[in-house]
Amino acid sequence: MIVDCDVHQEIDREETIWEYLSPGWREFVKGPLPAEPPLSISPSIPFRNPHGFFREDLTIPEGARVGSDPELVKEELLDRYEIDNAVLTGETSLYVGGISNPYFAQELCRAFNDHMLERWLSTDRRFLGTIAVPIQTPEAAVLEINRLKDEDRVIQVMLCANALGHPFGHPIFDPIHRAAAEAGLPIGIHSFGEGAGYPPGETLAAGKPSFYTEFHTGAIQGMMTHLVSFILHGVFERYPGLKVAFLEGGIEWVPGLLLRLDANYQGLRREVPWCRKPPSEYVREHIYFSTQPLDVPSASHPFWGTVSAAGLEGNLMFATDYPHWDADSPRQTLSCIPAEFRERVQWQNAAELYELSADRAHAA
Amino acid sequence: MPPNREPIDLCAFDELVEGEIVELRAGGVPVAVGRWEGRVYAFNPTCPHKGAPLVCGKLMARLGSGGPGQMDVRSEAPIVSCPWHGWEFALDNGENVADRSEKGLRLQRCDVVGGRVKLGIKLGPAAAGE
Repeated sequence: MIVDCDVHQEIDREETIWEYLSPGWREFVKGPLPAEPPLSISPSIPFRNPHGFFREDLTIPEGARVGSDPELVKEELLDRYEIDNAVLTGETSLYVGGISNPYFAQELCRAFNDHMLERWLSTDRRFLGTIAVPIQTPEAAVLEINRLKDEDRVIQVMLCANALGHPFGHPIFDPIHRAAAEAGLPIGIHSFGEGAGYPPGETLAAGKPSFYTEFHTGAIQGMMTHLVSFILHGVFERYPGLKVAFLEGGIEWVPGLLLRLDANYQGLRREVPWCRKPPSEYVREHIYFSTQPLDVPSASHPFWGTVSAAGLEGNLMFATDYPHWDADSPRQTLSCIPAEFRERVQWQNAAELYELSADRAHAA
Repeated sequence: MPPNREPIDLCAFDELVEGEIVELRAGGVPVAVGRWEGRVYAFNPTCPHKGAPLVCGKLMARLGSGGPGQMDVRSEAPIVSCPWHGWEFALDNGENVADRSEKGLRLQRCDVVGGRVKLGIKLGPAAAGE
């Protein structure tokens, strides 16, 4: 069995999502000049990949965007690699947090989520859905979570582009933490949200990058910041059942970060006495990481010793990142995972996180 | 210090300054002694983490929390914080405050008798990790 924890489903064209908006918003967004809609559904992203963002071997539906046809995703990913479940994480919808108009962001999330239910989740039981939420307005995000929490194949709440200028563990996001915990849904944090949209947050910690390579390499800084924030704000003390999945960040940065965080906690616990145990214990109990992009070249590479030393074999989940340019192949990637915990990475850890019962899983 | 040995006279209680730590000698062996809210605490003067001199550290109230964002004082006994990396050790039981499974601090019994500070037998085994 294989569970792919990061598959980016897309809308075929911008006009498609307009049809999921309320009549009033649809009229407003279409505007009098079709070439100049008064609001874009896509906030600006500061960098372009010199090769393009997508795998060049994929079939591009005519006049549509890559990754927008469920039938092609089934053929080119699920069937070809015998993937049993694919967690849909969104593409344009990942960046709704960067939309300038908070009311439009709320409406757009509702539209993206309805599109996902209708166009994707209803077509194949292998697809599992992630809720896009308007990060700009956490209380409105709660309404969207509660609207969809009982949908059969909806399994996660997504945070990516950060509209509020604080890492995601900050109590400004507490309504989202609480709603996800009460709904029993993990929160997914997807990388590459930093610097997207309006107002743009900091893209990298030390200043603005000049190159896409710099941006792509440094995106783990945002993941580090969000992880530390969740621990030190005591989010898991407040919501002991809450789980968080760090997606498209890989695993390589985690063991080193935990060494530093545990060491700092020893000396600086006084500042955060509500943290009752070393940070790495919270991580092992509450946080998961997806493999892609996996930069470890083999199962015998010494890096895996640091994963074992940190006790993270139960926290790593396989992901392809289909259809992006840096996607990982299941066969090649899984061959680079040590045999001792390959099954855990391949599907068991994800099945545990997302509570993939036999009913939800395509093949259990 | 071997058990059942006669208490060793360290100093007059009035020589100790409230909230401060001094390093004294007991039978030629150095011992850190701190005074906090009228009580005296004696402990190994070397931090079990990286060997820093705890006489240069601080006595502070031990902080706990009822939940995120809340600060409480959790016990009458203070903690000693190391001057190098800030590790905190509880002076009622020697525990590493952040992580009980980590190295603890060896305490020594200390009483005030007739205005004199007396060092007695060790209070059982040191905390975990010693």
